[in-house]
Amino acid sequence: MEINSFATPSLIIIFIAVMTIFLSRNWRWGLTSLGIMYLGVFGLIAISWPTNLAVVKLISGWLASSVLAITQIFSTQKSKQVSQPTSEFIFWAFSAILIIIISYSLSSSLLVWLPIFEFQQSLGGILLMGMGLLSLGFSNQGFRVSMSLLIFLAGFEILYAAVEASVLVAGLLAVVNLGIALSGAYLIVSRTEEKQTS
Amino acid sequence: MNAPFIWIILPILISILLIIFRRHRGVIVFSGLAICLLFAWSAWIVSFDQVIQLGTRTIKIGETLSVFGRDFVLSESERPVISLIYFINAFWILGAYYSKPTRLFVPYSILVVALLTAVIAVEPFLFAAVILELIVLLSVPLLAEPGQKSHKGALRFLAFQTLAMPFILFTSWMVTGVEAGPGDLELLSRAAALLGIGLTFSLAIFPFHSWIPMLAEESPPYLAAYIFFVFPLGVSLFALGLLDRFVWLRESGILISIVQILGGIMVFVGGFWAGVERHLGRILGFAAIMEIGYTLLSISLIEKNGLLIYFWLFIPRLLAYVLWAMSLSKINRDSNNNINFGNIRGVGLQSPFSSIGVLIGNFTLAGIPFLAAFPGRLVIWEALAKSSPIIASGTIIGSIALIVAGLRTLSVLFVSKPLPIKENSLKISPLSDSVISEDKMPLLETDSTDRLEKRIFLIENNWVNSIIWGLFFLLIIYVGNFPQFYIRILQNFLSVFEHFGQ
Repeated sequence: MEINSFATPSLIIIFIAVMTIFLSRNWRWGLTSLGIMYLGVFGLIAISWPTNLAVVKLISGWLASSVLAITQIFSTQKSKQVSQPTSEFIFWAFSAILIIIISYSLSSSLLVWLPIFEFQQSLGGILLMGMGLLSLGFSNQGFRVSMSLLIFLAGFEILYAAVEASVLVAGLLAVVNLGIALSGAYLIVSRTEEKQTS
Repeated sequence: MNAPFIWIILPILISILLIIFRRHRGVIVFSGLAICLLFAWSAWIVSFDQVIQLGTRTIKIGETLSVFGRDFVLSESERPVISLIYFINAFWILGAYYSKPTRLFVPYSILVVALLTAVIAVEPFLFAAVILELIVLLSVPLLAEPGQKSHKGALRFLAFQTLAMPFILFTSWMVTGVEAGPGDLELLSRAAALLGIGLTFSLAIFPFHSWIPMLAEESPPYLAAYIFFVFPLGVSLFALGLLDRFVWLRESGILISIVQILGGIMVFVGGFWAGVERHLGRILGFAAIMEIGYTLLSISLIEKNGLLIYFWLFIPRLLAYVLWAMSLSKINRDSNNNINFGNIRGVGLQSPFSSIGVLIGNFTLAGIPFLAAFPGRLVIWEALAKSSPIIASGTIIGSIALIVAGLRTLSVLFVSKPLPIKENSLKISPLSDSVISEDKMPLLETDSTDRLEKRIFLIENNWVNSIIWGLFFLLIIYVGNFPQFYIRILQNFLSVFEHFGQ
């Protein structure tokens, strides 16, 4: 079985995962979906890279998700599960639909300009970058900001994998992913400690 | 033995070692200082790729280190810049003794200079974007200390710098195509646009500069100032490297004009906001925005000795930043981390040296005559006046606005009536190392002028701090009045960029 046959299922996984992250305000759902999203990212990167190198993305993504999950578990913010108003849900849903439409449009243009990409890579990459950017624009807390940055970077890495297969860059980008998760964890913990002491 | 190992890997190992000894502040500061000076001196004198006689032995320092199929190359022409980077860091470490930032500052700063050296060395050159991102990730925990009111500045810094990296990395692939077919105008314009977006995020160019004042307000002043100095240094060296390597960028008149306009806007906007600001840290932040603007202006004047101006501005900027930031740190500590104008009235009478240090730093960056930055500013204003009088006027207005900020600070620190003294606040803030003996305590209960004068000697610093403060003060005066002595040395740096340096 060729790796390319996993492209469409990977894109579907990414789509479901990122919509769950986007629409759910529950951090458990969000982080579980982030972990699943990296499965899809791995599937799309494996089209361009050898599987053993693409696995680096999967593992670093899972590690980053785990770091954030562990931090959330031990932070006091876990008790603050605020229910999401319907109006907010509708707003996010419409925003997500808008990003999907733009991503579809841009991915077609990107394929004309750079035919080296598969359609699934192009759509998956742009969709994740767009969702990451939109989520980043509405976030001002460590957890959401780091998750948005991880989504944005995952999208970029899908596209970049098609043009650059350097082991050094793969390693450095894995370190960057972990670093973002650790920085986010640090910011969550330091805010939590502050709240506890005040 | 090769140069990247000595000036990149070895400092990283040393910085890890220094973390172990971080409890001994004096030891770590002075050992860090000695290490940086040693690396700076050795980079200045040791030739790469040549046989060197060391007693009975001969060694040859190679230029290349291969890591996972990619090369880190430090060539002979890059020696002066490596030396400059380590020399600059030595000044920051010296200032750390006075300002007392976190104990991790010295190892952290050595790690940062090692990574900055890696930025220069990595091949392909555009992979440097990932290394710059690593510097950002290392900085976030230091900038966002537990107990701060907010971490929004650190978060925005992280977000903007992370957004910059993909744009620059993607350009690295595109420019390969441009080099292969320089006639492809569409590809060229797309590559330039992506690179422009990446550098705009990375250099905190207007309108993506908002993290600078936020960080200046929330983070420890010395660490924030260090980031404001070091990060634009790394990114601007990277940008100059791009201009040097890619002829299509260098010869793009539109790009140079855009850089000049953006530089002018940053100087004007930064100065204006500093002039109306009421928080001492944010004034420093807006001055940092102005400095990035001046960096862009010097790059835009690259055909008119801009490279020399670019390096020329470093020394005054370094001296002003360190003096300003270390003095501000002292005032910040003594004011319980609240350096709003309302909370620091009359502080100049309690901490005269630190207050004067803040003012000198401010006036130096504003370009006041006889202070360090004035000769460089004069050259920039003169060159701009010939090519674009509007931008020249804007930069002068920006500098005048920064002088206004300094005068307002002067008024608050020295002229305004001091706040009523709380005994506890003078016993000393938790972070301060100053000691007041119990027999002197009754002195603090009154507020008469002679008692205030005596307080100066109780609260102001020890003799080592006085020497450090005096050294920076004298250097600022010296550099401002005798620039010819170090401009000759600066000529050595021009060879780093082979196309500009000729």
